[in-house]
Amino acid sequence: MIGSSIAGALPRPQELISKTRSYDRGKLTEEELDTAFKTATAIMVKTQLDAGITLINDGMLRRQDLLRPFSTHLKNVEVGPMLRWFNNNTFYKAPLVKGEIEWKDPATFGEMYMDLLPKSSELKVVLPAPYTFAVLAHDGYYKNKVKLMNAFSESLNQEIKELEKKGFKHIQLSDPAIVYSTTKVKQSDLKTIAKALEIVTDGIKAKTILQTFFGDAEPILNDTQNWAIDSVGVDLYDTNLSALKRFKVKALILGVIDARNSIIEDPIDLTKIVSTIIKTLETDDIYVSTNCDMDFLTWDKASEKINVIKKVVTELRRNQ
Amino acid sequence: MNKLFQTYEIGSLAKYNWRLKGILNGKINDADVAEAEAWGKKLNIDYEPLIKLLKDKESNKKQEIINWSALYAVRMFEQLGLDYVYTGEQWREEMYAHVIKNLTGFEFSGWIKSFDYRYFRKAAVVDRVHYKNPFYIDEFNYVKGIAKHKLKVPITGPYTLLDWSFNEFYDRKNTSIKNLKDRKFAARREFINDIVDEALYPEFKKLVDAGAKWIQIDEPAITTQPNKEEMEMFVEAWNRLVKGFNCTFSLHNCFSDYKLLARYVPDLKNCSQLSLEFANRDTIKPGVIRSAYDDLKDFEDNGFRGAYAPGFIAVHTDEVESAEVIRDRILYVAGLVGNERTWISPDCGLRTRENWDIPYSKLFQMVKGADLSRKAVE
Repeated sequence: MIGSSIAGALPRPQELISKTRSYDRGKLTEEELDTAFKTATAIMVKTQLDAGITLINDGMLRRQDLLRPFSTHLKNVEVGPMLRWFNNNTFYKAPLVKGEIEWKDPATFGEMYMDLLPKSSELKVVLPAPYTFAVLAHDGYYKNKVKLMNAFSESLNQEIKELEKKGFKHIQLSDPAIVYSTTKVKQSDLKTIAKALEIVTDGIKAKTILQTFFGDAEPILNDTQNWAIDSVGVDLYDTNLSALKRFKVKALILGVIDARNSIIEDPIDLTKIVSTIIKTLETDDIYVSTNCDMDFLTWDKASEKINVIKKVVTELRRNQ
Repeated sequence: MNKLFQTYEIGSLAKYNWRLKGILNGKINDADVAEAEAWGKKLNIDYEPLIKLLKDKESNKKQEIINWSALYAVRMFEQLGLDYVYTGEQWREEMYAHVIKNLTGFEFSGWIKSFDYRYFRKAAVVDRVHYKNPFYIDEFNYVKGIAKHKLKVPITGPYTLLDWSFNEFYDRKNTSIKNLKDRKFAARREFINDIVDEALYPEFKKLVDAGAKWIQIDEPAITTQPNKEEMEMFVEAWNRLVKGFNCTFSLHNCFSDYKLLARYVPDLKNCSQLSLEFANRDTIKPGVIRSAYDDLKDFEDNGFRGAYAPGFIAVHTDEVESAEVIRDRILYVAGLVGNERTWISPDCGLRTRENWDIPYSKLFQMVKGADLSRKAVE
């Protein structure tokens, strides 16, 4: 099966950006801002549907950063200091863990416009993976990364169960920290990741994707085949193509569209590259995807790139 | 013997409303004029021509206003007693855009999210980089004519210009490489080489020919791609850029991974000094051991033998460090690397402070701290 996916958030269109800035300056009401977000989310959904994207997400326009819903909704977690988002010139606010983490209420519902999402599609929601949360959080309670990771995994499991009830069939666990050069997991700690993912997916019917980006996935790829996940996303601008040989996990998300560069890729060039990859794989299910979130770009560039995904998938299916 | 513990600032100062509005043709109000008068008085500048200029409705006064703004910065630094001075980057819109706008090959994008509801513009290189207009030499020639103290010219380094831009043109040139990771790297390498050869090198030549004796290369982006290949690319670009010039070069890098940087700076040719950011990592409390500066040992252990200006005042807080705390920091650093190799500067440019009051107070204490240190060792 050849499908397609976008590995996270989409960029806010320029009109929405103007509205958020006006809101920030007190020149727009909460209601007016909400209307602007709704209008833009409808565009995000329509663009993905028009491009035939298999795993549709809402664009995550309202989410301020990957971790924020959990800093604002989990018990004993607060919004902390602003820090650089890995090797990007963008920033996030670190979660401050001040006590035992407890799931209170759905963290991600408030930021989504459920009525704008097509019921018939394969809906995907994007959440932080336990390892990335544990690495980026400022832990003032557990003082132990594994304990923190497992506690967060319990809450994540409850969040996912609520999301399943809303119709989400795919759960993306974004995990940049697991492969990023200065935060990557040690080989000796890989078992702790496996355990955390078991907690996250316990009793879950939705398919789970472990989406890695900003680093080389090769050192963990072999182990991921035994983890409680259905597919793995790989950033091919940081991972050599040769790393994918003999990969057997049920599905592989190929990050071949560079969401951190504004160049519009040549669909013919990418089709050739993906065709070469497919020949070396032992899995039949692949998704053509961006390598990471797209909010490093303007919406104009992102929508052009989504169109490239469409062209590559069309060509690959034709050649099948 | 050279003067010990010489002082300088890193680069930028905030821009006053009269400078900003004067350039953007905005309406300069009485408060803006009063600000220009107040600082003119404080700095003993004959400011009447500036006030006349600000009240003049005619256009075409932009360059004159920039000159005045630079003059104010130079005089402030001189009044404070800094040994090396410059313009507070009043000539420049901002360290990245100022250079990019004077080159061909770039297009600026729309707004991109920085965090929450804050955004920035980033340029994409869409054609081969070429020099279009001078971007540092006119500023240097102006300041050379007005400064009474020695000059240090801060410039934006090639790695930062590369890393803060989208790379379209060079990526497209490398599509024959089918491994995308290798393609990205090859495209970055070609891009940075052109930034050096086509943009910065010609401007450096003009600066050195015009008499620049010390150029500080600002590279905030290094270590944001923390891997060997990228760090080596930074070193290669540096060595390519400084080659053949009879000039002193120093590196400024802040809010960075110094353990990583320390492994590569010994390979920088003709790098006489590192300007770093350690005050931010130290407590402001008096009477404690200044062990926040201990990471300087990493640079020593890796073999760097130039001087250090490790940062003695923080730039992200209005809290003014006392001269005594600054003295203690200086003496602690001097104990680590030697008196002769210890230079005195802030962590970074002071444009992070809203106006010049706090920078003035902070730099005043810094100069006083250097004096106290000199007395302590002489």
